[in-house]
Amino acid sequence: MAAAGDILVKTLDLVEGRIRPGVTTQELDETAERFIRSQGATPTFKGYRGFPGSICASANSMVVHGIPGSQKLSKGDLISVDVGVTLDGWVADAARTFPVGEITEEAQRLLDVTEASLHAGVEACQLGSRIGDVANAVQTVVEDNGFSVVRSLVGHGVGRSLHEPPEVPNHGTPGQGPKLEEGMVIAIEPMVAIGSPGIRVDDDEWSVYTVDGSLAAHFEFTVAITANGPRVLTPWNATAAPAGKGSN
Amino acid sequence: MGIFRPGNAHYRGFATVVGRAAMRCRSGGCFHALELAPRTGYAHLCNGFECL
Repeated sequence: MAAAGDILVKTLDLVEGRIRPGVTTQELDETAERFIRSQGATPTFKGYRGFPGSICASANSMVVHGIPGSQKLSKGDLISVDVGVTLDGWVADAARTFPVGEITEEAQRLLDVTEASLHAGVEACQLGSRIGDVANAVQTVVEDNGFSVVRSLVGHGVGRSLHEPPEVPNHGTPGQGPKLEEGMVIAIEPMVAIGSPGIRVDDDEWSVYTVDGSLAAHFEFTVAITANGPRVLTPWNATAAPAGKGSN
Repeated sequence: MGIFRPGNAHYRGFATVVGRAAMRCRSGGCFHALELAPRTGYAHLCNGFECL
């Protein structure tokens, strides 16, 4: 899974380099698919339950599961890129949200807080902790900074398949839920909205939008639980420090 | 890729293949595939540290 994660991180880096005003999400998808296949891996999402793309490309108020297409990115957009890579039967899953050129201060704060909440979730992945500890760590960072966690969608276990138990919510109560045991691998993925946490699903039955049209962001790691603490199997060069409580 | 929670109208369920995960080998830093007993329904290690 670490090898799949390595390909995944390189894919995200490659896609990041192609993001600019005027590029279509289809072009980003093709870039990702070409690279993944060139590494001897397969794009996990392609054909998964009928999903047509190799990546999920979700802009602005679209939270997740955007189908790549002819939509051109514009300066000031946020674009979430979610990628799955399968190598030798093992799956890695990760996502980052990128700015397209210069973005507003509030949009940048949304990115910073969402990424910080992911890191807080990872830090909570200690042997013997429970899923509720992870969920609460994410939720605390997000809500202390005035944003909302999307509650209808959750992270998940990951291994031979993309979606395995347990579910990994982004809100919860410390000390509750399944216990984290050595060898578990989970995908932690805060989905955060500036406004209401409510969502709606588009007629394409994939694209998920914030119900109030507010901006959303999404970051995701695949994390293994080890005796030495959490090991991120999709470690991009993240530099964001956890956002301080009440820093808004 | 996130998944809808059980109870949501769009919930599609988890994969039926469970009980396998990846685990770091004692002798090295890499992750090796391990076959796991699917007894708990969770993708966690339950048969030790042997590498396949």
